[in-house]
Amino acid sequence: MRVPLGWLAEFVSELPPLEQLIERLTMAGLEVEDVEAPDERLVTGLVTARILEKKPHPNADRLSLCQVDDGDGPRQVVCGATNMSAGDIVVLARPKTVLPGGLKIKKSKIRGEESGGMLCSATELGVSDDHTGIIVLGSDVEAGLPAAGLLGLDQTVIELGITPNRGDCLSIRGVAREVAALCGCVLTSAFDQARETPTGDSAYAIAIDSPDLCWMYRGVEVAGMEVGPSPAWMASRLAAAGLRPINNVVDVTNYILLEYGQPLHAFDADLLEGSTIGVRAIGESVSFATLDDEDRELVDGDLAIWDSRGPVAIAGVMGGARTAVHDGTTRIFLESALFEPRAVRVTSRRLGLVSDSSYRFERGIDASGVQSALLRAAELIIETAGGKLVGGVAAAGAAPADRAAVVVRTERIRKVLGREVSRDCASAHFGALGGAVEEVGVDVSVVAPSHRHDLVREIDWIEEVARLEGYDSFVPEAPAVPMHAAKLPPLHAFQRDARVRLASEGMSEVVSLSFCSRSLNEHFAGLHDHGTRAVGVRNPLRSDEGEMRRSLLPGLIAAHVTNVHNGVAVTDLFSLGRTFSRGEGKNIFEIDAVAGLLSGARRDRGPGSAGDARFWDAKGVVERLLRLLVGGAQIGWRPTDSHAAFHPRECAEILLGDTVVGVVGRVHPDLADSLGIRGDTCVFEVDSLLLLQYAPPRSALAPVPRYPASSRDVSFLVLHDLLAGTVVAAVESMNEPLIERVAVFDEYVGKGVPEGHRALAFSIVYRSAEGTLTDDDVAELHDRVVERLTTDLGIEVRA
Amino acid sequence: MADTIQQQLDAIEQDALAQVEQAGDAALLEAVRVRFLGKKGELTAILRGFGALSADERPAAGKRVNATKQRVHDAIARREASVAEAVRAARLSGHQLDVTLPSFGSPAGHIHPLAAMTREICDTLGALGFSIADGPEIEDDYHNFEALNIPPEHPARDMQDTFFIEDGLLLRTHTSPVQIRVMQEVQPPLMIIAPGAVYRIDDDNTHSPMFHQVEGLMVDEGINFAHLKYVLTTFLRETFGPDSPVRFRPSYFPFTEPSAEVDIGCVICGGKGRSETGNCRVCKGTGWLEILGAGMVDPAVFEHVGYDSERYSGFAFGVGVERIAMLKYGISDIRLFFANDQRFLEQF
Ligand SMILES: [Zn+2]
Repeated sequence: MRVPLGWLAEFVSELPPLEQLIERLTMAGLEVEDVEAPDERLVTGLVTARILEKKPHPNADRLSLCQVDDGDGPRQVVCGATNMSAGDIVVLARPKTVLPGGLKIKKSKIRGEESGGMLCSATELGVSDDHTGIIVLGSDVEAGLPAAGLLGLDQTVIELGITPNRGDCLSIRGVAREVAALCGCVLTSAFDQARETPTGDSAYAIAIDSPDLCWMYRGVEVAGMEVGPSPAWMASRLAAAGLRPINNVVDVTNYILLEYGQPLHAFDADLLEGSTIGVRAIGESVSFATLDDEDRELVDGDLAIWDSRGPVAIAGVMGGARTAVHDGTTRIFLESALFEPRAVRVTSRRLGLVSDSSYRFERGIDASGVQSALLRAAELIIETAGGKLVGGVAAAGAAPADRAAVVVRTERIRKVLGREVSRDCASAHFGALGGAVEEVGVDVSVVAPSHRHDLVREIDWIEEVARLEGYDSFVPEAPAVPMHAAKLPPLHAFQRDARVRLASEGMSEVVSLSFCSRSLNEHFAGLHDHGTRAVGVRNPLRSDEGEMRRSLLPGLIAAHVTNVHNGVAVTDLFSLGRTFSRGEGKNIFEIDAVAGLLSGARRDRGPGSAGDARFWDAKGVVERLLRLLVGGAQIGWRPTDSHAAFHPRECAEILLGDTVVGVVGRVHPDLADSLGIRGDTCVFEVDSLLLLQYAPPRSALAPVPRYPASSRDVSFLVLHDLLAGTVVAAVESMNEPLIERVAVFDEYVGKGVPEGHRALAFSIVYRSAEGTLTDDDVAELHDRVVERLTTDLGIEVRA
Repeated sequence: MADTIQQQLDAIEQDALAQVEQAGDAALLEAVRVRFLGKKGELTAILRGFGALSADERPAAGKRVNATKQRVHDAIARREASVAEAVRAARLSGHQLDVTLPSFGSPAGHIHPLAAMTREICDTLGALGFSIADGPEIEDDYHNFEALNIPPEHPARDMQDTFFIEDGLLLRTHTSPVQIRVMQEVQPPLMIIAPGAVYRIDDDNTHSPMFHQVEGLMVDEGINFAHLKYVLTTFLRETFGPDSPVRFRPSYFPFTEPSAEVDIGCVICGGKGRSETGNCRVCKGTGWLEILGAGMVDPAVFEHVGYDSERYSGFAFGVGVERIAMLKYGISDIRLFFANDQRFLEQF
């Protein structure tokens, strides 16, 4: 809400100094977001000028050469805009003027032609963001006048951020009322000026058929006016408040909207058919042309204003093109109404059409101002455009009944705010805000004024106490709570540790938006069940963000690609975050995942042993990550070809017991090609909550061995597809208490190993808790184990 | 006879001493020792030749053998010492190691600044007694809006432009719905914080469609506005320094009343509002920076979760993680957090 201070001063006597006003408003919840002081360099440098002649620039296609008269005789100006023609009144920045952007106007030659200034656009002057060309003022404006005033640039304007609960401050009078209450100033007589209600009948009848959507409707007829430009004082205030002057009738409706916060609409009465104004909801959908010449579809339930032929306005949102005021209008019907806020909002949101009217209706307007704003508007139209009132006020509906009194308990004030505020003090504040106050014992009973829709409950009034006392006046005090330890849920503890661990692996954390394209979601199904679908976003910002990610991997890969593109050599990355899918009905699944990506030469194998990332690099990272919760021996690795994003022969599901808690492997080569990443890229993704859920509980402490162990090695020739893990599992399944550990220590393929086979070497550690095993004991046991393995698995010992 | 033995002894001694000199390491010296002094050694063998000596010749001959043995033994010992010294010297010789060559293994990676910032915020509030709580990122209208006193078609919905998914579900626009979920489960007293990702339709250099919040809630009997001011002032001074100016000014959130916007003194211009080139760009000349929103929990919210608002009161607050990180680290474009450029990340 832009508030020109000159306008505000019309209603408040003795405004406090600017700094103080800003401080007071901000500290009372009406945040001053910006202050625009008049720019002296513009005030003196801008003049109105008439275009005498316009012709093309001889040396530049896009420029034109204008002869203009700025009151001091003709001068030539080069201009890049095309929206003006001879006879137009435009705004000339004379040489030495400095524009808001810092551009200093100089007398110069542009492509060989003399230019004695610049014709300004609204954007260049910071008046609005209208890019369509230079400003063209009404043709009755004289040349040679100071232009800053006409554009509202000679006034100090404060911009207030009005919160949605304070619709009453979306007007100059509303702000004046608030300033008076906050600063203890007096409202001027202009604020309360009473207007006589015209007598007589109106030629128009109002029929409200949807009384739940329109509570009150008033209208007057004004005839015999002449549409033309608004007087400078009005145009200037409108411009300062951020509205572009159009003509004296429309401008008055806007002026009153800003002054009272009451939206008005002027119909060209000669274009209205019949003499009954209907207010009723649309039944069947209908296309309706609004006065901005857009066709909009109104649907069942939208409230409209009707004449005998059809809808003429979308109630509270925008008028129609058919009955719009135009240059030749001489008779108008002026509307002022009170529409139901939510209905206005529903229609305005659906149409994507937020107007100054709908914005105010949504936030609630003052019923007591409906008629006075209407009469003030009629008065101003007659003053600026001539004509006279015809008949009296056409009326239907009435202002809603006064609100019920609310009792505000002083004890409750103390409980909420933490300090005593006396009854009299509270009463005084409520009175200053326009409440009707009555003392009830130690408490206060108060009825809210008609403009404050936000004061309904006791707590609403307590907030007003805090606001007017000033938040600074409440001294901070430590709450008295029993000592207790804050809890860090296991998931968060794991995530913290995981970050530290993965970073110490040399990986960097990335955070990606949770959105994903459909095609990437199809490739990267993540850890969600195969039966689930992706979660679609109905209103994405970008077309490739139409779904919620099923996996963290697309984000990791995108980050990797970005970095490779930037020339960062090796980028091992990890990420923690949610992934999403949906099952039947409204069933949504969210997984707290942790994922990683390894690509490019490994640096951690010492000199001379660098090599590409391999499956086992990623597996190692996963093992060390999971070691936060489970021992390596407790993790299962099951080969799988059922994950589309992974190489079908270099992918494993990560198991805790029978539960798949994650997946690790090399990115599918086809996908790697299409994503533009190296073929050696390995990734993993783990479900943190499953991990926490299935991590075995900590087992009891095992005694530290007292007797020495003996280790024996054996090498088997196995078919290529037999997994080392199968051999290890077979040893473990023997449940031989003297076997402490079995581990693979070598894999060999090549000379001496038959085609289709590989040699796997295992080391088995034997130990007894009872005493030292003799060589004979160990030899006998080892032979038995090897024998069992060869028979059970059909493998042979390699000599 | 004795002369012959003497000649033999002299020859063996000469040979032994020569071999001691040649032995370059401990193992060779040991071989020399065994050859000459061992049980089957040459000097032991010579004693066997004593049978040919007369009884009065033997003691003198024995002395001479022992003296020879002693000299060989001493020579070996000296040689051992010098060999050991040479070995030690060799171990310590060689070039100065280039300690500036790069290390083996991976250089440490980096934790994302948003994760680090979230952790710092949660740690500070945790130390004040707030426990972490979680909730879904895909929410229903009830938890995200209605239970927070934002009924359908309320203009306050404009403050949070929402991403919708099918079936009336939406991406949570704040982590406040976690408040509702916790209060539906647990009775006061309550001190919780809810960190996490939130979503709003907004995209420029200070707004990202996904960003992160930490929402806090404290409910008990007798909690009041002065407590809110104390906890948040403490939190902000722990985060921005003990001398940070903090101010509370009225604002509006549907789920709190009274509501406050909390500002800290501008960290860029030191609260002066002006820089060398004019108004401070970061605080727009006000000297203050909006840092979080807060307020006393609105009784309507308590009603939704079945708390008795006459008995219990509380306050809630919401912190923007990106906002604090941007101010603390001097980051001017929020999109840097999500661009994941290693050259940015490695600075944390
Ligand atoms: Zn500043």
